[in-house]
Amino acid sequence: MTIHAADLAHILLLFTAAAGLTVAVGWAGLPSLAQGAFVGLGAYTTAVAVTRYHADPVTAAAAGTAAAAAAGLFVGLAAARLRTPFVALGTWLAAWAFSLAVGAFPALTGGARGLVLPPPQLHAEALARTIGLGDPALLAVSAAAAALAALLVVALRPRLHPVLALARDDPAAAAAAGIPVARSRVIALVVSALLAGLAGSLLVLTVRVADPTEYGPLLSVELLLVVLVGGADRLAGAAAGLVVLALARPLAHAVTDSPAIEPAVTGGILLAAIALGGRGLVPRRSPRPRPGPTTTTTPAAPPHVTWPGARLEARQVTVHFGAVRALDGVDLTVQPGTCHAVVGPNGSGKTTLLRVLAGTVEPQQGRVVLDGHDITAEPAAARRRRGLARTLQRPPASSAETVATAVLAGAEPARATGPLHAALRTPGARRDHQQAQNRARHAIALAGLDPTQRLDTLDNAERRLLQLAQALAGGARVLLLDEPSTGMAEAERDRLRDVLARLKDQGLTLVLVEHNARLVADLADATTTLTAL
Amino acid sequence: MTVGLVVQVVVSGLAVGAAYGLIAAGFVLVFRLTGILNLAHGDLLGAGLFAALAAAGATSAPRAIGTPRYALAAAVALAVAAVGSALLYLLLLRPSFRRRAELGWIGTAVAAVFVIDATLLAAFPRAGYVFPDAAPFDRLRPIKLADAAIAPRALFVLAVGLVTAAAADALLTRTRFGLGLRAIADDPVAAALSGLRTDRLVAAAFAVAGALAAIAGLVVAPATVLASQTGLVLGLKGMAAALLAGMRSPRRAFAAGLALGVAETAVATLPALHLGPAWRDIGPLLLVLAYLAWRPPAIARQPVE
Repeated sequence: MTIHAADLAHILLLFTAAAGLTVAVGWAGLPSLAQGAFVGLGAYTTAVAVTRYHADPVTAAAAGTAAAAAAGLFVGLAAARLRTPFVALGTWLAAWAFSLAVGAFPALTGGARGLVLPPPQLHAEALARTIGLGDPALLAVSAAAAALAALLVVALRPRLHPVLALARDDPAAAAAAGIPVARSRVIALVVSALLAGLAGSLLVLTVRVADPTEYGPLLSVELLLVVLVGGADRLAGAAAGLVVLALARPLAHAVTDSPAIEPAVTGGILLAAIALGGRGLVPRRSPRPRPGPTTTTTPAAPPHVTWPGARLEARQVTVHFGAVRALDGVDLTVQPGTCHAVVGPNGSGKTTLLRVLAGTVEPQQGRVVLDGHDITAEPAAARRRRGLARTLQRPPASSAETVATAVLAGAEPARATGPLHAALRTPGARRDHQQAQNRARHAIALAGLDPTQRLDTLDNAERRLLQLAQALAGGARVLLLDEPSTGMAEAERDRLRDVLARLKDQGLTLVLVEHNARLVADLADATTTLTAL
Repeated sequence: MTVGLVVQVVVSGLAVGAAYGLIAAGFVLVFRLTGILNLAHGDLLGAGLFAALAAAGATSAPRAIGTPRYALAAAVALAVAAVGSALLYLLLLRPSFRRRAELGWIGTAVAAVFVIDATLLAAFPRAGYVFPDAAPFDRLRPIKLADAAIAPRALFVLAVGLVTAAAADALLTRTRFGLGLRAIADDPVAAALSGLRTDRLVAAAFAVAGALAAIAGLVVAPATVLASQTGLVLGLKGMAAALLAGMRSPRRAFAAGLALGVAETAVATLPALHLGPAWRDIGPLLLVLAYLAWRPPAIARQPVE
């Protein structure tokens, strides 16, 4: 079997699109079924630019890539708000809409016959073709695209993967930990669509025909197969999956020439891969032990860092849910470096008060003031960046990620640079990442956790401490703690108390909602009692 | 634009919409029970129709094949779609569903789509087939109503759709079976603990969904060219209607199907809208995508806390 340059270019470009899908499916857990449509959008935009507007190949490819990235932005903005199955349904409908649109508007797309691009103008290319070398220039460009995709994905991984993985496994807990869930998902889909568009643009320039059957939903499913068969979380998985597909196709064609064979083979491999457990051929990298403090040494000697607290005030906060009054004119002032306990029976509005302070519930009346700034109108994310962090009453759902990953993701609100810097590997991004890792390490040490431990092996107390570590890594100055000792045994509660006492001594402000009287007595400098209204 | 044209659009729209509604109702039914969005829902319908075509020996016959053979064909279509739907759940979707692997059952469903459609394409390689009619509607004259000409077939499709929907509604609201399904939809764990055989009931619900889709397919297929992707496209319309109904109940989904049918027919045929038939399939999809992006129904939204 000989491999032609065009086939090799095709595989390299499929890898480019699959690398993008790794970010969306593997990292973010967004089951995008529109990747084939993004490839098609890139291809058709390029083909239309070349045939109808006589654009040069570079401009046309840039237009194709940009069109796909713009579509990815739109899909991402929608997908960021949707639950996983509905992301699949939405992208599935979008993929079919694109496919049907190509057939329905032949004036623009050439319909079933597709668009044929004129032969290459470059002298060297034409010469290469006549002496049987195929298209070396486009092969080089395809290789460059695949390399660019790999570099981009590798550069983004340290920054985006922890954030997306945490958001994937428990979106609500991730959002509460200050992780920008929606923004990260939009970025994941834009990256994914951008690489798909680049692949499509170059694909159409390689084969010189925009064939509508090539960019249907079948391509989406092939790309999904490629990332799932190989192991969706890893770039090497995409490469392995591509090898499986590249081997299966010619074998199937050797059996029969029916047009039904490709979808049947694609569907069959995907079914088999999922039936075998869906973990993929390339195993996940098991977490390496990192240098730094672990629980094997005594956690009583944390590095010398201070956590300066802020002054938090609530004035005349009133919240109604319909006819039910949850809070009625509550006042609260918490000085920096003190612990203020909020106690009261179930249903007296303790959690609601924390939600008002954190910004997830809007009060009908009253103000929230942090260090003299009125932050009543600020959304939760903005308050989180000011250092107002809340831990949830329920522990986060289980996840195969490590403590180190989770706390690094928690450092997100205190980041100085954005993911674009990470993609470009600017010096600022490197420094920022170093600082975030340091903050995360200190926070883990202070909470007395083992950075290499997987989240699904943490006990109840450790999950609470994890939330604290995430908040500290994200630059918390005020901690809003919602019943942190629920379900804890005596010894666990003592451990929590020691950690909180140390944080208070180092200057952090604590607002503690708690039923356990001893914990309140041990920590609280002041107490507000709410009564059921 | 005349009143007659509007009446025609509404009646033929309601007819095609009744078919979308039956498909949407089944899609919502299994979603309410399991949270599974069965992306292969429409393809089972296609499998049922082609099996019926083969069973009646009608792959190259004229439209009217006589009542006994038509009855056989209809029974085969219903059986294949219902059993296929139940087996799809039991054998392919349930393993991933049990592991709570959403990516698993999503991948399984799309894989099933391509396996089913490829099998149909391999077994029935022609670009299009003619599906037999229940009665010789082609030979009946349109019914004149003022200046509107209403096709008898449209009235037949609409009547079958409404009767089937009413029967399905009674099945879900008036029987022990329906009561069991509602218990599962409310709380699957509590339903299992109180002694309901939830797996069997859910599989039965998948079968009901398949049968509803098959009935929809049987009544609309004679008016179109039957191809390996006919079921898929009908399924997409059903999913669009289900989403527009907020995935809330089979009853609402049926109503949304009717509305979608009228809207789609209006877009495709009313000259005042300047759009034309190219938009017949894309229009509903773009509409529902815009809806999903702009104001997703509550059930589709990521919970905030």
